[in-house]
Amino acid sequence: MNQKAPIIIGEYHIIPENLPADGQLRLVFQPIDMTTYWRRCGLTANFVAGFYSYCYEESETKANSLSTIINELLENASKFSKAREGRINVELKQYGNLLRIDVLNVASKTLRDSFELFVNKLISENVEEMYFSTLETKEDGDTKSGLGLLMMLKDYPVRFGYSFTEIDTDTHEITVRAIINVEEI
Amino acid sequence: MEIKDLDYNIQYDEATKTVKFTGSIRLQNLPAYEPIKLFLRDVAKQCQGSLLTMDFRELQFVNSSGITTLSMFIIDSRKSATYQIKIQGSLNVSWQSKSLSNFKKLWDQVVLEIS
Repeated sequence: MNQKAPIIIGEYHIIPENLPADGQLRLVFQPIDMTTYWRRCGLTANFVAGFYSYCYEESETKANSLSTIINELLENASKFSKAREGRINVELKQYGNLLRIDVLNVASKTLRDSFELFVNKLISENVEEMYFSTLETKEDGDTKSGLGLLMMLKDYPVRFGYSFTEIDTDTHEITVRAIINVEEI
Repeated sequence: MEIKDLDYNIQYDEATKTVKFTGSIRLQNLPAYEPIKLFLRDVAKQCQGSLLTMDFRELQFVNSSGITTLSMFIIDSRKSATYQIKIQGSLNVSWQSKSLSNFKKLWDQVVLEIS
């Protein structure tokens, strides 16, 4: 196996890797766990959101925002994974009020390429315009909304970074990293 | 008229021409939202020439596929322009305070009532 160096896009390294976290939580599951029983995405998101939000004032507001964000990340990872050899790693690390959420999934080359293209567009274009043009061009019969990341970027104070690693020709690891100041949401 | 599921309930009250959304709507993809889309189209037929109220105040969550479905309904309504839409939301539910105003950006005639 000839693993290549990851391609990093966006605000992936704003927290130094060697900074010790105040706390962490890890979840590992397979995409099929979610695609077969879809409500598990929401249940997991609500659990993780409650885990972090209850220590804050206005915890319900924070839980609602956190759950919305985590749910979108889990839904995307579950939908855009390879059917076999699938594995989704969710790692949450807390640094004071900063919460770093990494969601790693394994995708085919086709999925990786289209997602990498999309992410580069997110970085270089106006997110608000992309959000509304995505909706205005949506047609009956479209199966994907493509709105999740746009919605989070536009409506929530979240910073995103992305890492793409080729494991072999048709096996790619994608990590979407969201960094949230829990005080701000 | 009503759509009921484990996590959510969507109810249309003819007397007040109000669709009330309750619970959490996080369906898997756009095709899964088809019944809700058709439900809203039926409601719209009954609101021709008048005001349709969409009450989201008790909807705790909706995912981006749901936001897309609702946005497509607002765009269709703008294109036909044969009824008006009022949207009710709550400041206490953060997705509503953050995202409901996008519907007004899709159609400036939408009346937004977030309290």
